[in-house]
Amino acid sequence: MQSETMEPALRDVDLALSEVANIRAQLAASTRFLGLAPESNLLMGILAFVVAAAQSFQVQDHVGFIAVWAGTIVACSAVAVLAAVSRARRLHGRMAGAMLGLALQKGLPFGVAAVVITWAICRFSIESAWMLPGLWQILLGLLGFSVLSNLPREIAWVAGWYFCCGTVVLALAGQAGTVSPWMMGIPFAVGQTAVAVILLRANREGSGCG
Amino acid sequence: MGKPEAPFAYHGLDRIFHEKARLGIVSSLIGHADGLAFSDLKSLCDLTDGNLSRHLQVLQEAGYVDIEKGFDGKRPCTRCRLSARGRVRFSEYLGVLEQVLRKAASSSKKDTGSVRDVLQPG
Repeated sequence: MQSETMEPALRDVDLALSEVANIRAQLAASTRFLGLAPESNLLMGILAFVVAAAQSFQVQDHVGFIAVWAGTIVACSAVAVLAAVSRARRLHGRMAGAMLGLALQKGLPFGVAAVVITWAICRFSIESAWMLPGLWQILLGLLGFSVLSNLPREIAWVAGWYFCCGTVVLALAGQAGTVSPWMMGIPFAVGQTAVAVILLRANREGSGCG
Repeated sequence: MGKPEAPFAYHGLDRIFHEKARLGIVSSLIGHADGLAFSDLKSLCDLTDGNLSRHLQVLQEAGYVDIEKGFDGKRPCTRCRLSARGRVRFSEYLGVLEQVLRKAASSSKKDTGSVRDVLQPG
């Protein structure tokens, strides 16, 4: 008799645990991610400008061009990830794990897509490498839209900026059949600087949901 | 959780959250990054104006909720939102709650096993 009453009780406890997990997920999904640092985004923008300026004085083939920018993006991403982990642990406290997990869940597909597209084009169709700067920026724009619920709303403008720049760069590079360093330098310098300003304002106002 | 000699003390269950009406208020707010209007909270939590105001005051004084008074057109509108501190502290509260539930589940399973062994030996 006692076992008959205990099993429904166990189910109730399991149900309660599941509901608490759902509430945790809702909490993470609606909390502003504080892992993005204004300073590191500003540095990324400056770096993009410097790399474009340096590259504009050199004659490079597509492979060289892509290698330089892929390396720059990887380096910036690594710095951003390290800063995000450090800041999230400091600012999100017990929620850091959930927030970082959510950021990874949203960002990783775009990162993987960028890597796969770059590899496929460089491996099988290097003559189409002119498409990569535009495609990278379009992917970045889509990433920005996908994480809007966890960032200040103004980030939507930056996401739109990257999406439009990516489209324009695709068109220009397609017409010219080649790429210019400024097709990367200008969008990223403006975009990342804008991200830095937005984050700085949001941090000062203490706005957003986290 | 409590000290080893007081494992059921549950010090981490913040009394500010651990109250039926306030738990309902906070649970309503977590899914709304921009907060909820006072009137919406009243409907969702089935509270009177006075009750809701009192509980919101407790949450605000603890720093868990931000209350903004503004206007919706010409009509005054009060908007309530979980603060960053509120979100972190609520996450900690949920963590303790999970520990309580897991402990209860673990104890229940042990008791069920013991009863089964008695009822169905071998």
